[in-house]
Amino acid sequence: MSNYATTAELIARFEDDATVAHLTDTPGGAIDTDVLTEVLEGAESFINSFVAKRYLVPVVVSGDTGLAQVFNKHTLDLAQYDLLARGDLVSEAKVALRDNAVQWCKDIAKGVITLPSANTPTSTASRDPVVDYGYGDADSDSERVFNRSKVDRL
Amino acid sequence: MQALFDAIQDRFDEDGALPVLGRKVYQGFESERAKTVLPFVDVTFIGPASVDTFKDDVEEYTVQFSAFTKRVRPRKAAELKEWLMRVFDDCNLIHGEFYTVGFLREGAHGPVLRDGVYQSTIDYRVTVQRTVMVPAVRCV
Repeated sequence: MSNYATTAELIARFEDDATVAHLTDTPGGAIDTDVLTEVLEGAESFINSFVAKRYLVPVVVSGDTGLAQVFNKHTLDLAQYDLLARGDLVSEAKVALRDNAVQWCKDIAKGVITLPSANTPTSTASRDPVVDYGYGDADSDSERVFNRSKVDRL
Repeated sequence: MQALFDAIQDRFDEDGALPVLGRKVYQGFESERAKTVLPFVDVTFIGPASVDTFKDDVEEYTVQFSAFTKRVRPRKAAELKEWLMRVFDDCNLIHGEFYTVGFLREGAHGPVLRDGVYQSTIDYRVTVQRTVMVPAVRCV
């Protein structure tokens, strides 16, 4: 189940249910919702793989209408492209929408675009390191396995 | 002639197999339909040529059906073409604005692979007699 868009919203992007049925390889029958779920989850995972570099995923969009809309739009753009590509023919307009969504993901990962209300990952700055960095000091109990004199003999 | 397309569309939609094989019929040219989900059928009209031998309004059109199907399904392309011929060859289209005089197949080509999709074309010579006079102001 996608967090950013629903199967009903994806179906609404096409002219009728029969068209979607053809795209899900069930011509003349009912829409194969498994296929729709698959492309929606694929689109969401694709977005999350970029967004996760800077924010907690899945991004909680329920509290921010603007954020919900932008995630919804890009998820549907990617999912619609994936669904159309099953039929071999995708128009330039749909390719452009997909490219735009991919660029948006990349810009988030680079920090060009910020998502104000999205949660960032917990900072790790306050964690105690498991071992000290750098050379052991005089008070350290640990014995170094390799040191200059040992290595010289090799 | 919009009425002629409407009648073709009705016949296409009401057939049991065509909407499954060909999904939908559109009026227009293939380049305008590039955005459309495969498969689909395009119908284009050339004409009319007036056949004013008698006082009745008899018109003749060249109607081309272009069927587009997915590249991965070449068999479906041939099947769709054959089914279109089965449904439309010598058919009697019913519409309030005209009587069908003839629906004669003049040729069929394909399927051929073009720009990543299979395309078949079927040409018909369609003769109709209008029941609504053109122009409307003309005296009967």
